[in-house]
Amino acid sequence: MPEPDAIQVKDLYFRYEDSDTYILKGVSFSIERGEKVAIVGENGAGKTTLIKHFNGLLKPTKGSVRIFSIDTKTKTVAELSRRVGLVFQNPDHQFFEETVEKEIEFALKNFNFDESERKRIVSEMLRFFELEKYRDRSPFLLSGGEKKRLAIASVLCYNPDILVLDEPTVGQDPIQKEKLSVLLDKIVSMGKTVVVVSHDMDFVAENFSRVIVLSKGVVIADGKTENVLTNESILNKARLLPPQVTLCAWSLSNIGLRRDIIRVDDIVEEILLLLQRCAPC
Amino acid sequence: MLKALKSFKYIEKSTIIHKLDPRSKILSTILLSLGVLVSQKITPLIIVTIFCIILAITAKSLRQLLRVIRGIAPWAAFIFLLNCLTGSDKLMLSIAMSIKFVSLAAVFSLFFITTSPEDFMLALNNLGMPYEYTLAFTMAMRFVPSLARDLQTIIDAQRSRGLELDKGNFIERVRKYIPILVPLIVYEIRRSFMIAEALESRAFGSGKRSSFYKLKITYRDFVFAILSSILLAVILFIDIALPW
Repeated sequence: MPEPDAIQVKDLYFRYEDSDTYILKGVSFSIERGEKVAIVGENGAGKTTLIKHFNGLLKPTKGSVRIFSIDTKTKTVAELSRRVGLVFQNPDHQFFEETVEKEIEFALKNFNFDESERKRIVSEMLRFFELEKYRDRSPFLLSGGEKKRLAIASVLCYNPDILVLDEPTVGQDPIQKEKLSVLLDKIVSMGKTVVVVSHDMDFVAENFSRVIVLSKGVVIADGKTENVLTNESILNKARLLPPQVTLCAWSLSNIGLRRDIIRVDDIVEEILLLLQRCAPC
Repeated sequence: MLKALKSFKYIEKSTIIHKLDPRSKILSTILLSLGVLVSQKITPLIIVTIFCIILAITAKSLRQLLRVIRGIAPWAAFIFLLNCLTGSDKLMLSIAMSIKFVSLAAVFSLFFITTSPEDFMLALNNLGMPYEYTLAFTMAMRFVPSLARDLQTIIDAQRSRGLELDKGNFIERVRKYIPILVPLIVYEIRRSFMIAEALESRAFGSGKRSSFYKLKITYRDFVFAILSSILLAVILFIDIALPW
């Protein structure tokens, strides 16, 4: 028997009870276990609404969302959250404990981990996210990047199979972004599925092999990042700009650069090749 | 409760009621609520409620008004029950009391549904209230929906970390609101500092302000004010003359 998809969304329609307009209008896709997928789209395209379906915070108005073939309508948010960790955009929306340590412990307590295990996991997380020296500090006193790492730690700690992050790069300096990329790779290498919602095209281009583009509540593209993010009609429709590397490649296309380059390493390689070819003349 | 709060939100529409001068709307709101407060009988209170519904239809905002009424219906029922229990042979009065509550809510919510906070502020300034106070008031109004949205996000974030609000006994459940209230309060305090800074950087408090919008009283406002006064007279008359 083939392994079930980590996330399977089938013809999902959603609107809030007190509104007539659908925010999601027939969204379908599936994500396999161990995949790393980015969801992109303009403001108000329905990205956050979509990921809130993954752990049952929102239930489909029509259609279905299945997590490892379990229909989200049949489970509570707590049951689903045990398998799907959702990290919200703004860490300030969740911190309330007196210390960083307790903040991480919160979810572990909710999911009934016993004390010795909690202590072990908290130490492991603090080390993993380089927050050890802040163990006894208030979460409110951390810097933006540290807060973000703590927010991820406070979800990753209970070891969910799927990790979903809403706009993880917002307000992060370039070094933090770099660290985040490494972190996401580590998490995927642990056999987990990672879904990221982002506006940051450069971050998406460098780190994701698959992209789903959402526009006005509909999936308008789903495929390899180098195909999707270099397709002008899709980008225009979703009101997105290509990654900077791609813009560079487009500007240089008249001297022979390919138009579907999205990563720094690739464009460097292409340019070097061109230069080598020109060197003798 | 949150839904009833949301219904108070002003939605811009182009109708006669929306275009009335806020001052005439304030006057009529005061007159009608006076009538409601004084009245002890069912008929005049029903008349006020119907008047509000007619105004709401004219303002194309009936659905919003009905949502408010639906939101407060449980409280009206509670008032009815309490009145029934505390006094014998007071059925009519109990009914009147709960309708009184509904009609008072209708009068006030109709005002806020059809008057933009900016208009309201301008009117209060014109009536002599200092700008600092009216600004505080309109900002409070303006931030109710944002507060509701923040609250929802915080609840979602904590539920995603395994918080189950509806489990456990009473004390456990109350304790479960700590993870919700702490981030909310901290977040809103921080935001208030940011707003203060933003206001100051735009020269708040530097002296007398000019206003782009000028309020203007037209014949419509006179008609509306006279209509409200007549209604008040009718209410008071019925209240004295009729048995219920």
